[in-house]
Amino acid sequence: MTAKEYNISVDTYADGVYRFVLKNIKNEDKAKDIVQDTFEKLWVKAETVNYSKVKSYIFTSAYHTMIDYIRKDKRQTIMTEGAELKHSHEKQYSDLSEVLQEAIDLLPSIQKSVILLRDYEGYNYKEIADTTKLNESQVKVYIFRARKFLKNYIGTIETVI
Amino acid sequence: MNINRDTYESIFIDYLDGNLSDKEIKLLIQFLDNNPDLEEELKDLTSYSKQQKQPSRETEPFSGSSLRKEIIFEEEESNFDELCIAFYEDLLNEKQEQQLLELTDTHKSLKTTFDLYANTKAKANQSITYPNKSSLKKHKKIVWHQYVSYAASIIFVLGFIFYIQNNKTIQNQIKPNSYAKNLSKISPTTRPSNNKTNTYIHIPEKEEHIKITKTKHHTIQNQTIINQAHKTIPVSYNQEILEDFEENNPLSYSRKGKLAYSNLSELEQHLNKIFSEKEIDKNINISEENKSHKKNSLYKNRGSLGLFNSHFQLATTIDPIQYRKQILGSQPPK
Repeated sequence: MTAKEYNISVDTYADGVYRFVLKNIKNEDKAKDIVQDTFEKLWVKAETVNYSKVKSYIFTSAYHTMIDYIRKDKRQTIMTEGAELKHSHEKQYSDLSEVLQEAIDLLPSIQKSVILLRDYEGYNYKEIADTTKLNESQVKVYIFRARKFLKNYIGTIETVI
Repeated sequence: MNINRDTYESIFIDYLDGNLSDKEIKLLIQFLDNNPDLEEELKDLTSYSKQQKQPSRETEPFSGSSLRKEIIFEEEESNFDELCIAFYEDLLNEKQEQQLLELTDTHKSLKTTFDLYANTKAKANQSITYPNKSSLKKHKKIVWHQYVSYAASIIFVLGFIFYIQNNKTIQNQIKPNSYAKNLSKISPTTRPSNNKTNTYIHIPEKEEHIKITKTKHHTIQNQTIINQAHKTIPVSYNQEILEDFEENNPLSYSRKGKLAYSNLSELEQHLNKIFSEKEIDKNINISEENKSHKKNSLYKNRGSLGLFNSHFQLATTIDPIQYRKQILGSQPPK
């Protein structure tokens, strides 16, 4: 990958990967650091990275850097898979998309990542599996659970709205 | 196999995929006995997995007959949820989609659920962008020290060439020995007869009296010449002035051949060959300034602008003391 292709990659994917990371960890500074680290790694390995696979490289690298951060940050709240819906109805919502964003924030980390890759980036199951080092069956199950959780959350809030 | 609440998901999937040994299945059953809440989760997965394992798994995860059966006869919410998700995940074929849509049209409660799933598709907030994208960009690595070395090499080569050429120029222009000889050969008998002034300087015949020095005429600024001229040209010729005629005096610039010129126009022609027009003007001005001193006592008898110029030009090529003695006599000019 040439320097020009690298810079095109920055223009094309920096925003997307930043949104993906920020949505996951909710920390702007750390999200910036992770994006910066990701592109630094890409630049270091620019000669060996195929430009046609650069998006996959960027998101995979960012995802794993983010997972490392989440694991190190003990303050990060990670919901367990069996978590029940625990939300307050005191907050005022303007529309369903806002409710959905809040519901996504309540998803377990892995489900959130999978859903974001699916919805934000339009990845198919195989691409998500490659990025997250899961198999496709796991990806399908996580998406299934996440959708069900989101539906239930939205349904509950919708009755309030 | 290490099964706990952190790792059970992948083991459930392995179980459903038939990848567990008998021993591992026993461990799984023990785990479920200790965690009954997860047993329900495994049942959900099993239900989902069964549908995934229909004959055409990837392309048709939910076959038509199965779909009809599930929808019409069971209508269990869990199955309907899966169908809705499959619909929005684009996993159903056209026929299945059509059946599902027909069903939701006829069952209002199912329609509500179906519509809720439509809202589970997240959209990225495009207004969120990476704030300093340019800082991530890279440019070709500039090996600056290479350029510095190239520049230094070029400067060195140019400097060397300049030095060589300069040496040649000086040698060509000065030719000290031959010039000194020529100067020494000039005598009253070879003077032009039409020179009314008839005031050529007598050059010492002994070559040792001629002191040829290298000049740095190529580096002398015009202004410097002028200033020096103003400084050294005052015609009240005395010891102090002579002392200014030292080696490397910038005025030695034009010493070459000036002796032969007896008037300003000839000098000007010669200068034309050496200087640019502007510089000539300045030099001429110098001469004119000198001209104002022509009537000075020193040159009263010699009385020629050309002579003065000659005198001026030769100043640095001749030892001042010897010059004074031989040309002006032992008495300092008054």
